[in-house]
Amino acid sequence: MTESTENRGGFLFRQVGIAPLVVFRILFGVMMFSATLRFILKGWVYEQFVAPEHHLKYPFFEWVPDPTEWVIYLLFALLLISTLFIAIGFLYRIMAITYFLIFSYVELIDATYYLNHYYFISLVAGIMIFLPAGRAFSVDVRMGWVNPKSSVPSYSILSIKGLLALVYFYAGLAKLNPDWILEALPLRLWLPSQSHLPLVGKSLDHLWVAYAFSWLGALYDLSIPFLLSSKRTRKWAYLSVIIFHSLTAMLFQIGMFPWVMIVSTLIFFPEGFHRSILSRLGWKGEGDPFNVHRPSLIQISLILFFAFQILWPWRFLAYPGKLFWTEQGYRLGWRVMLMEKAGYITYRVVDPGTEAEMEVDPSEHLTPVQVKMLATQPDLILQYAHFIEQQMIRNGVDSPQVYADVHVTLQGHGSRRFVDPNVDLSKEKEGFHHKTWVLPYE
Amino acid sequence: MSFLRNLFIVLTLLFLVASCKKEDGKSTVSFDREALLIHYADDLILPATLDFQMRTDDLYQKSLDLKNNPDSARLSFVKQALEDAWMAYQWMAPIEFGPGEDLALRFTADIFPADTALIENNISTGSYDLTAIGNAPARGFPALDYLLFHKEHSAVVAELSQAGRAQYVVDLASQLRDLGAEMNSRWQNYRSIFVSSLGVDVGSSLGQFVNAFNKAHEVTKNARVGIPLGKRSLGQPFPEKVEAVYSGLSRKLLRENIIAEQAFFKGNSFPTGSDGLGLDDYLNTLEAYHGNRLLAEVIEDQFDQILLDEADLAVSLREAISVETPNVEVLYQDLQEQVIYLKTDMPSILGIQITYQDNDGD
Repeated sequence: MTESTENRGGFLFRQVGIAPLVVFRILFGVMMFSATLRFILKGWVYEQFVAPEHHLKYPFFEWVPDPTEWVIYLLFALLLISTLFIAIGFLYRIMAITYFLIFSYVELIDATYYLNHYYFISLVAGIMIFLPAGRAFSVDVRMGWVNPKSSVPSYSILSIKGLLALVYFYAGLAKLNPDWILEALPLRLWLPSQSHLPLVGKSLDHLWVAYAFSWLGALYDLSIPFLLSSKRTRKWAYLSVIIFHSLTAMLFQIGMFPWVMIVSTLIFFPEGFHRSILSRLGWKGEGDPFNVHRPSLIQISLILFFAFQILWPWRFLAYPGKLFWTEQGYRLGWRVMLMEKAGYITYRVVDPGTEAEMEVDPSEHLTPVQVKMLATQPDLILQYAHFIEQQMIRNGVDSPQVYADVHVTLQGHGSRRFVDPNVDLSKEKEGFHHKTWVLPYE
Repeated sequence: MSFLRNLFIVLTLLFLVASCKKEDGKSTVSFDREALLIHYADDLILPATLDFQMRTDDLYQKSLDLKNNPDSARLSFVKQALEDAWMAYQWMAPIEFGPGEDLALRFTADIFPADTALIENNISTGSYDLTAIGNAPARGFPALDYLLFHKEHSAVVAELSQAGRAQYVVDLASQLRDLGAEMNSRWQNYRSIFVSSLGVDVGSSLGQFVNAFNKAHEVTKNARVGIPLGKRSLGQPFPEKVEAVYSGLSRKLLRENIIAEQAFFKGNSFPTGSDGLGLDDYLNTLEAYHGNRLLAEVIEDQFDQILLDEADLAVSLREAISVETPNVEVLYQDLQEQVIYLKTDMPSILGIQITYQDNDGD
């Protein structure tokens, strides 16, 4: 490698080999290409973005427009192209921007499809724009469009590792709750339903297995970033990454997430490992060091980004009540597999002029998946109440009152009323303030 | 390292305490889903589809007789055959998945209210394709209900001496007969698939069954009671939108519908009604509670309550909507309450998925 600039830049700017970043770029591109292709082939573009009559938006993102049918297919085609080009490093930065913008837009179309790993991919894609991952073993370098680099400032690789560590550690912290630790919920509900599986199946009927999965899962999430970072434990840690995520892939309907994590965590391996992969593919290791001596806007933004990521999941502490019940501050916090929640919702609309009332069944205009999410998430319940209000006004009802009849079951405990049926939701404002009309859990 | 060792020992002890603390609860929740599916296929679904096939075939034979010799007695036979087939259909409603879904059971057999203008138009032009989507409200049981019951008995006999009209009745019955025959023969083949798909994902047998069962219950709540009661129309009731408005069989059919749902929930054999392995037993094995009562009991009681509500009505459903509105409202509310148990509590405990799409556990 080239000369060290360690003494000048501090640990964030220390020069490290570019290979891990390049391998990550290739794997990320290939993986996202397959994920996009899988999504299209399963018919989900149609099912999730074309078929629904109405989309429920994230709070403060109501302005995000719905795509027409040909636009959404075009965007998915662009996702395929951009991920492929990210992998081969063709117009890398433009493709990274394209992928980030389109992927994030697609996620913002409908809040009911929220998955933590989609959010994770969006964040990684966003960071990738600012990392020099296209500066080696890429078409851009081959064509002479950019100067090849042999090393990069260490923050480039640390930011990917940091995000992975954050996801694991916060997912682990989220598991340290009484349901998960003391009751093995929701795993004790989910595991027995998989008892028909070969080999492990029969054991899933045992309660102690649910406890073991819960405890080991929490321990795994909390410790794996550290175990992967330490040279002594890395190989065993990676073996456990493979075992853990393969098990979750088998037991739960979580799609690409296990494979994303199995592939991404390779970045914790030392530079030599990645260099040998690339040289086997024909990389010569040519290029200059990527010298950065003092913080630029990019580095400051990255620091602010991580500060935000560290603080944001804790916002739930600002709300009263049970987090799993009210879900105030639940999203964007790496809370995965934590609850079994289901609800049934109908709205009651009253015309104050005539006192006539009627029932609105959201399932007539929303898909089953949308209704499932709507029925358990207060911000969506409020948003759809306002949508109904607007529709009634358009149909000639003056200032209609909208009430929600919602019953929710959490962690397999019996269903109970979720929101106050006597609160006129058309008068309630959307936003981050505490929603007083959500009934307390007990 | 001694810190780590101590931590490990402490965690192990805590784990043992946590996982063994429940004395009252069972430590395993083993339930034989295959046995449940075999029982449902062999003792409920196949006998019920066979019954539906026989009833619809009988309806067809009787209407052919009526067409050839339109008289009062033969009309009475057809009316009775219609009632029997329609009652048998109520047992098909909860199983509109797999073959039932492929055959579009409800869409073919029971879209109401019937479009009487369309029916009359079909008869007068004499050219119609009953399989066309647009003819959904002009076919099936509701269309027969109109043709056989919209006037008094002798007037209908007189009408049916007109060949085109009698032919329409035969064509309707023939379509239902084909539906019954297909449903039964397809289930003979489907049985082996049904009893071997043991998961709980949306495509598994249990997943498909529970989702179809819930959908059927919501159809009952909305179409059979809610819409006629004015639940979708700012309190404006539409009593004429009940199922079987001309024959007045609405309550009888509704009752049979609930009895069928109850049987499918409890795993009661058809037609003997003897209790077998059912969703109730599955829920009890999983120790599903609602409040401090067993969920299965709550659901069974709710079915009983709905049947009591129906029995409480003094007049036909159509009339009751106008003259016994509060009682129909109670019936509706009890149907609604049952949706909550069937659609949230039950699938949640059973781990049943409603979609193939990825999720990360809410």
